[in-house]
Amino acid sequence: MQNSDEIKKNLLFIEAMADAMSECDDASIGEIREELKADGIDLDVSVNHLMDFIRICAMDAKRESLDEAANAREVMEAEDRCLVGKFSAYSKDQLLTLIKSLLTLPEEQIGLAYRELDGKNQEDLASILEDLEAAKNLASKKMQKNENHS
Amino acid sequence: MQEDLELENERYNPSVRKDLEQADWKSILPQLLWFARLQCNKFYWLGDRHLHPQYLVQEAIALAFGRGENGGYRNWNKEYYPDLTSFLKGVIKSIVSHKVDHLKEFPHDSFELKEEQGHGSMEEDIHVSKSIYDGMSGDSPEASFERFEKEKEFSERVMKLKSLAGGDEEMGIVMMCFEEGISTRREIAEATGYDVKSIDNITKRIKRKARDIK
Repeated sequence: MQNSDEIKKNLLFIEAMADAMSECDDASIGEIREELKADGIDLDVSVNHLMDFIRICAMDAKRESLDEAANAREVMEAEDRCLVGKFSAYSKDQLLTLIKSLLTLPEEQIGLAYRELDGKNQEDLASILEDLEAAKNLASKKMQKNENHS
Repeated sequence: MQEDLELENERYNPSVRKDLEQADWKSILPQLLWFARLQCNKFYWLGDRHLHPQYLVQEAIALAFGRGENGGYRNWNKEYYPDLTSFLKGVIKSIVSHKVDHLKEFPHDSFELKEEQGHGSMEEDIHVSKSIYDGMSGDSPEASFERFEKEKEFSERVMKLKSLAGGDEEMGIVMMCFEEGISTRREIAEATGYDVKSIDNITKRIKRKARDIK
């Protein structure tokens, strides 16, 4: 029976060999197709399956982002009622300018990454701005809380 | 490619999702599938042919979208990895490495491995991979016999791989690098004195010959 050292040496060998083969990867699409076919894998079927999977991931991610924005808005409405309707009198240009000024921070992009801002109407833009303000207020409150704890 | 894909401590950054969505997947996916297939050799040579390259690619994509199992994610740092394909190859390699590391722990945690339950296709695949070693633990005569047989098969397969060089001196020297765990072109070039182009050609010869090792 082999000892565990020999098994480990064999594992080290096959790992290095597979990694070297993976790194040497200038195969053309045609070669990839043929190689995978030899293993019983249909490249087109796999690619189509993965494209579907990417679509599902993207949709789930969008839904999650919008849910987060909705949650932030609910919390904001509950905690900061004076923010609701705060921007209703702003022009579209003013709203866009304010939103874009807030978009400089990556963590404040949640919920907005998938929205075409220029195509939104004034009411939607005001809501988005309220969400952003709410998120900012929440972040600030969280930071305050953390500072108080530490 | 960067050898170690660092797990970042920060939260998932959702702003990369738009770039992921707009990526040219039709050209990226065949490369990822091929890379995953070559990484799967690690399991195939261990005697497990159940892991499908597509599952590895799928898991890597899910992690990039921040939707891995149990909330897993990998942040795509575009400054570090401007090329999405390279980033995802790193993720695939990291997934495979993690699975192989589990196998390496044998026999110390064989009982623990048996206790784990699968929660999805990838987990089930991990479980299948672990089953290579399941039979290698335990005290019953049947378990000992199975362990002996599996060790023997694995050892024989590795011997076949090592003997692929035959009379090819260059290939034999590169194989010696693999025995030392040296796998990148740069490291092999340093160890052998061959240039990177020659190493690519030698590796391609090895790849062709290894195709028949089952």
